[in-house]
Amino acid sequence: MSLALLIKDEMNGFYRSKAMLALFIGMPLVAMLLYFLTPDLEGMPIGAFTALMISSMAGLLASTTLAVSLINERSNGVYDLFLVRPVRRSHILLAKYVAVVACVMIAAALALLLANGYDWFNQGAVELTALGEPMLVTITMACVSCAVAVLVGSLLKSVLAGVILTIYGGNQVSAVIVLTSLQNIMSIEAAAIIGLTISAIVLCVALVVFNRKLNS
Amino acid sequence: MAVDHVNLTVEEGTVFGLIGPNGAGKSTIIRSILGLIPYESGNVLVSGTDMRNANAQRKLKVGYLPQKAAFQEWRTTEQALQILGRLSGLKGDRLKSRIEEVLEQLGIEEYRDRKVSKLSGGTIQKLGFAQAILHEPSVLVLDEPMASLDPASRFQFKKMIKELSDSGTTVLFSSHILSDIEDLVDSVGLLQSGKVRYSGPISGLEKKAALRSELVVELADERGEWRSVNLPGVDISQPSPGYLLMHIDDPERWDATVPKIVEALVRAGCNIRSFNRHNPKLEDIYMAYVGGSN
Repeated sequence: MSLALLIKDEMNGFYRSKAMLALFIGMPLVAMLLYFLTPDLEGMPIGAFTALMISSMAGLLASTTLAVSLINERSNGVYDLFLVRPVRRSHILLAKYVAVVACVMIAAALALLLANGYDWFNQGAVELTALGEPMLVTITMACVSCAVAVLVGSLLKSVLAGVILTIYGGNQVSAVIVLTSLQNIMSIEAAAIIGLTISAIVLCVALVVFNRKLNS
Repeated sequence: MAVDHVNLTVEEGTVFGLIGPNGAGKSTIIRSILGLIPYESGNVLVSGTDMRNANAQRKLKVGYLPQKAAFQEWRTTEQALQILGRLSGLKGDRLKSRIEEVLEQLGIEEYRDRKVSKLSGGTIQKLGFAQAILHEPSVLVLDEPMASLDPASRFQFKKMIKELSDSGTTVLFSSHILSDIEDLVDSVGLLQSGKVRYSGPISGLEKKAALRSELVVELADERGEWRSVNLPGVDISQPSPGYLLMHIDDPERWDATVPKIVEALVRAGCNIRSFNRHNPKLEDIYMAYVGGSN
């Protein structure tokens, strides 16, 4: 019961924070801008370009936001007031994770739809099945980097160290996983499964850490 | 180790004050009571429940005001109370009316729609108090609740604690502002360097400290050989001209000793203008304990 309440509350928090603005409006905007400014795209449609942009940006934005808010709230003692109520520690962490990943998914879908809508408007025909792959890549990357962010957020006290570790540990690792599929070492589905498994493991470790050293 | 072999008992329905200098382990004890930090051995039970267990809070309602209450900054005052109330199991109209009540009780209705990040320290502390009593807990734990408040707000907090206690709430609060403790608590625990130095009623603390009651004598003039007065168990000094301060070692023998002192002073030629009993304040006892070991 408390988990659902906490997820809703986290989503509400994201909705009210500026990070969300960057995710929902900034991401499609930057994708558009880069598309028109990049000199040689060899006729790449904006839909495909946006997909590429989003897969690298969404996870980054979401994971750093997650790590920073976790470190800040932990060190301020925000969770103490939650924990003297019937709330499990693990639910606090899970709620944050689920809320962020959900927001990334919505934002990614929105940006992709917008870009492909533009293509459709200009060229008339868009292959909608082509949307599946970038979405899968984006979700996998977001899951991995957010799991790392949650772990970093539970471990560290310094926001700066947290951000650096999240970017390098989370985002780059998630990129490595996805790149294997782009190099045709394995299929995108296989890469996604590996990525999601890794995020699950990291998330479990984070939960154990968070349970133990919430305040120290 | 911050706290070692602490044994404290708080009776149901009473107000218990945890006092001690900074770093004595007050917050550590409070946080282990609430199950917020792990401890290596021993038990902390609230009404027989170990608060580290996540289900404990379902059975027993505990209110907690930390030293520095913190809320997510994107929330408004009302939103902060809403989520914490919901997590405590309050819903719908009940939640709404409770929020109205606590906002009014603490006099922060005007900040209802203001974001937490734009509130002053004192108002955040009041919001902290509001969330602590929002779900009408049977046990209220306050960690230095009045440290950052102005005198008016301090008075308001004290009044509220008194009212809650009268309505049957068990209150545990820590402080190093001793006048707060003195007015409010039924019993005290005195902590120093992570150890309990005393636990029990304040009157017992006075006795245990073996602090001597004092008799202050005002003299009309400088004549009189008060230095020649020599009584067993009585220690005379002159803190400032015209005044004599007498320590009586055994307060039990006060009634028998005081007439002897007066008689001896008169015989020594002192002109007594007035005399007054000065009982030890908690402050003195505290200093005797804390200062004595340094």
